[in-house]
Amino acid sequence: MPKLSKYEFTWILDALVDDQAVVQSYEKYAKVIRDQGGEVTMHEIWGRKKLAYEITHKTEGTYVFLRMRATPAIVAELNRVLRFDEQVLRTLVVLDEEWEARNLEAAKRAGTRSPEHTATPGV
Amino acid sequence: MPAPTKKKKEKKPGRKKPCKFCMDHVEAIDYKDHNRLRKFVTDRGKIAARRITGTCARHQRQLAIAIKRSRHLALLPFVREHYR
Repeated sequence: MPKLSKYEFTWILDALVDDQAVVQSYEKYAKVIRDQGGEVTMHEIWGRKKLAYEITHKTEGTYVFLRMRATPAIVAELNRVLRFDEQVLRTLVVLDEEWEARNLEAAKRAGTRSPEHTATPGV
Repeated sequence: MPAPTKKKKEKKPGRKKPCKFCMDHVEAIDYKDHNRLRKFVTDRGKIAARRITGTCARHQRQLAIAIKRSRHLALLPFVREHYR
């Protein structure tokens, strides 16, 4: 069994899809990850946001975010499956740099409180 | 009488700006924190130079990656609307 690495996975759905379909989309990709031997450690639906620029003539999108432990093969499979999903406007899979924990630790070392950081980007 | 030669103005080194990320003890810059990143792009949407913002080399490297990821997710623009 290859070593599992931590990843962050964000994807943007067309804002026209309803809340139920958003959850379904999350479950669909969580299943892909689990079926291949990975695990989802947390997930978050950021909700509908205005896009900074149009993507395929759409100005709004629903953001879904999750953290997972996976192998490069799982990421490749995920990217392959995502290509066929017409509801998905954009995806990003990056190695999880655990910035939150690292920043908290650095702030603690410095003896101050961490600046106003949240996992969810501000609106 | 020869014209007085213009003396080249000497550039003062000036006070070095502090790095905002070092001041806040930021260890890793996150691409999801687009409100913070927004302060480090010009009004055209370009990544601001270190000499403008005072960011240290280490954080500027992280910042550039974070801004590019943020743009990919349409959290930040590549070019501001009114310049397009």
